[in-house]
Amino acid sequence: MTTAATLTGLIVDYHNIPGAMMRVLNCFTRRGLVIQAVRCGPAGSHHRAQVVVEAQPITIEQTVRELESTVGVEAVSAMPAADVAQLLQMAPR
Amino acid sequence: MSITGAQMVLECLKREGVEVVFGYPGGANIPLYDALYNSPIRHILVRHEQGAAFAAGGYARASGQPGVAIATSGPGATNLVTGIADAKMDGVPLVCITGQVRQAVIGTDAFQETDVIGLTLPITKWNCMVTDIKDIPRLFAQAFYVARTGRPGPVLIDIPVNHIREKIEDESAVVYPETVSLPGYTPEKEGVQSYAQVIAALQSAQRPVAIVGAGVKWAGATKLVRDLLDRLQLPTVSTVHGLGTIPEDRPYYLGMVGMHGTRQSNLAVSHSDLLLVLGARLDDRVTGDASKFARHAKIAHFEIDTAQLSRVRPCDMPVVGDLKHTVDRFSELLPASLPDWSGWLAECRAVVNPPEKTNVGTGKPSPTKMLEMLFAMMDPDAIMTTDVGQHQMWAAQRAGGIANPRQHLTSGGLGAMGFALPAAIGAQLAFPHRQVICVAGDGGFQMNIQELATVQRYSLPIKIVIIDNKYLGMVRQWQQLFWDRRYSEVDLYDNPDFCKIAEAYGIPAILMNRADRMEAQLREFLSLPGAAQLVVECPAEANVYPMVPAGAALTDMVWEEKK
Repeated sequence: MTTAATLTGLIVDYHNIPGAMMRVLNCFTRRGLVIQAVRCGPAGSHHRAQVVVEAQPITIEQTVRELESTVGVEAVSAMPAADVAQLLQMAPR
Repeated sequence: MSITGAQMVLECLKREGVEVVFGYPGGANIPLYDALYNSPIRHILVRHEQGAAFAAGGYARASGQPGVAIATSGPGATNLVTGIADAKMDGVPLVCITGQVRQAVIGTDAFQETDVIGLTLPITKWNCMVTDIKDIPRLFAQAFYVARTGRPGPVLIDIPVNHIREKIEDESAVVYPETVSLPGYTPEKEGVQSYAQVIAALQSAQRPVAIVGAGVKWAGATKLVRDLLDRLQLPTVSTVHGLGTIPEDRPYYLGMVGMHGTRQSNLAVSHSDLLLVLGARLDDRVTGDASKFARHAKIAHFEIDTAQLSRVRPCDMPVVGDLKHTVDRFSELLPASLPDWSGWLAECRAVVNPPEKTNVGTGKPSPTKMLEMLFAMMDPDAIMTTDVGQHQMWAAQRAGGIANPRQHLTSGGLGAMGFALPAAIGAQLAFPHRQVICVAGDGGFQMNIQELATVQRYSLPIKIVIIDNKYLGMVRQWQQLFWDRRYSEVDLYDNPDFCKIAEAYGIPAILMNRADRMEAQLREFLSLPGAAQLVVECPAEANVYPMVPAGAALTDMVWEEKK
């Protein structure tokens, strides 16, 4: 049974060791997902990436588990829907 | 006294206990080879960098210790890629060291420049580029730490040539870390452990089945798992990488599961109500149609890597952690009194595995009969490497008698043809005094045939068996069974004379082309001193049965071609 893809945002806290951000993004792109929005930067003692993709829930679950076992990643959590909408509306300046 | 970056690299390898490395020199790693010139670390010169990666992988699979492969920049590095991907899929500790162009010219498309960090990012567990000579000790310590901990895997360190040439004037200023950590990497992190739920599920299960996989051996938990299953006495099956974990003589052991698994195994799993998955990742070759895989079973999954959980089926009871600890803890927690599953086991064993196809009839040697004889005649602690294709599955189906899961080495996840010969080289160097047998098909053997030179150069006594049906046999089998016998580009009628090739490399060869001489020729072959090659000309259309067609349920095994 195929479930409809939905816009989903994930917050990935990672340590900014070389290649870490690319490994984070690769967890999405290797599944053929198109990254709709991404924002990265320092967040206290680590770095944080907010990533929005359109994907089926099962794909998101698999992606989360892979992110959690990726070297450099500290934690993964879901983005509130309002933050997803806000990130999508932000135009780069 | 001064020390160069290259000398620091070798010092790091020594500190990690590395005795053998596999590699190929080139412009961007000449300083490293200069340091190797009078190093106690033994360098094995392969004839293609893919051979180095597979040999290092074979060394690691046989010994349990990280294998090391060295290549130069550009094409040297790109040639490692298949071996790295193989190690990633099968969870094999592999440390690759690539030379890179000078840091000052990186990004200018300099001669033999390739973005190997970018290339290998998705197929390594971790990779990095050295940008400061002083980082070498820390990065190598981190590389080995990542490669061998958690679910093992490949790592790569890319070193611009200027940093391996560079010197630190005062060697005593170099600090080699005593302890190692990497931010955001905690391999011993224990996740959810549903022991109580698993025990409760086990106590109420009517039809439990255990699946053992490669994770058991990598955790060093083979004895623990044997003890646990000896106690539980429930039907047990194995993935291709788990073969040897449970001795074939255990009455509860049903054999290999999956696409070419036994009927007993596949039906037991399909009808189970509880799956105890021990260090197996349940890939598509094991599950068949995931929606029909053990559809009435709850899954208790013992696994160190959370990324392996719930890939094809939701996992009901994860037990996350090193199996050496989790299986031990689970065994301690098990109540003294457990249900008796002997009735269910008898039901599983009552399933008849249809008679094996002997693949005879032309007077030529049957590949399956030949492999049965080979398994019976080889040393009890022999290590067998197989390539990919029909012979791989024929061998796996007959490998149940091996005593240890590190005796059967194959490229299971990536399914990389060309694996067997270089992997045998690695295994032989890990265990110089054990018998090592390489079994390959005529297609895969030609993918790394050049490594015969490595076998000969180092006088490695590898016994090489080529099962020659003059076809890319597994693809031909699929075309026969599922594509109306439209044999498209699988015919290798123009194979070279493999015996002459072996002899050109100085390796004696025997041609086996008559069924009635199989036993005598096998004995002669195995008794030859040093390396030897046996070419088995077998029937062209021999098939591997049973077979679960791709995407079908495990219950839908095929035993012959539909007329």
